[in-house]
Amino acid sequence: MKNPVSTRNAVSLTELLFVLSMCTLVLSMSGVLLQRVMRIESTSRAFTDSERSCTRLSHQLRDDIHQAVSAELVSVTTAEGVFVRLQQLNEVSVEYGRKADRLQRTIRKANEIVARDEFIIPRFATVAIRRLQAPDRIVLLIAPPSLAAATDADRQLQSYRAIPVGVEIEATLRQLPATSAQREQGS
Amino acid sequence: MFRPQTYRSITFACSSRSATTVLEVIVSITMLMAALTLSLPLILHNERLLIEQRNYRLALDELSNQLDRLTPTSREELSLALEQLTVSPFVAERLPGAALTAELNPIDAGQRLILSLTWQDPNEHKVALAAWLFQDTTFAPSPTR
Repeated sequence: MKNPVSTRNAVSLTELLFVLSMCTLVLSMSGVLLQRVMRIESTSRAFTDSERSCTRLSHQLRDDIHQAVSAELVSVTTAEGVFVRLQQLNEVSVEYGRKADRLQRTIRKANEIVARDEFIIPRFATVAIRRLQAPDRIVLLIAPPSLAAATDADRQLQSYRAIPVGVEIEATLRQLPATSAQREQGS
Repeated sequence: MFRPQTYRSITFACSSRSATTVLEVIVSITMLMAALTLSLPLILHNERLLIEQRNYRLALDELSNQLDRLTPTSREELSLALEQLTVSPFVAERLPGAALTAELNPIDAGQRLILSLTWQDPNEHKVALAAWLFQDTTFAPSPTR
């Protein structure tokens, strides 16, 4: 006599429910894993971009300040959001301004724009610049707003995800003696 | 009379089945659990790596700021400035237990100033920058770790 179990071509309701629930579990866990991996990839990319931008800004601002013969902090809000103007030799000036989620560096020669550069910063980050003495130096501080200060949820999330936590760049103005500055200006 | 027909239908059903067996589901769950278990430490490690990289950049910026402030000072003022050396509030807030140390060594044509920054970290990181001070206060910082 043939065993009826071995030749059956249907599944019981219990088996069906078990397989369905297991499949649901597998799909859910796969979805969570995928979402997590994609979020990490996104966060890491944003972090790398911010870090690279901060490092580039640090090097560039330091270099510009070292080459400057004079510096002027702009308190009046302009259309380009300029907050510091660095005068260099040969009628070259470098301006740093803020526009929403970026810092803009503009190089002018005899009031004509010759180059522009941009550095991405967190949208809600605060930018503060001040001038200190002994030695004469400029300090630029970029930091996200504190979580306590942020009111709405979106801003809090932006602040939480604002990587890096900020940057403080301090560079000394190496003012040339008047005679050598004039000599180089004329050359 | 009845048997050959049943055999053919069973063979056809087995070869073109569109469902999964319990064994297959259990194997897939096991493999997925293994993947999750392996990926969790990687996720945590990735976050730690990002924090370490950020801390290293903050430390490097702090040392550059300090050297930029110290190198133009005269020799007489330098020793006093080194005694009063402290970490900036910005970095102290972000790097727990940050401590700054300075070392001034005479070299052939001037002095060599080494600033080191340490902070509380499981890997005990230490970042150091060196600057060479000459009579005309030109300097050449170089990062060492």
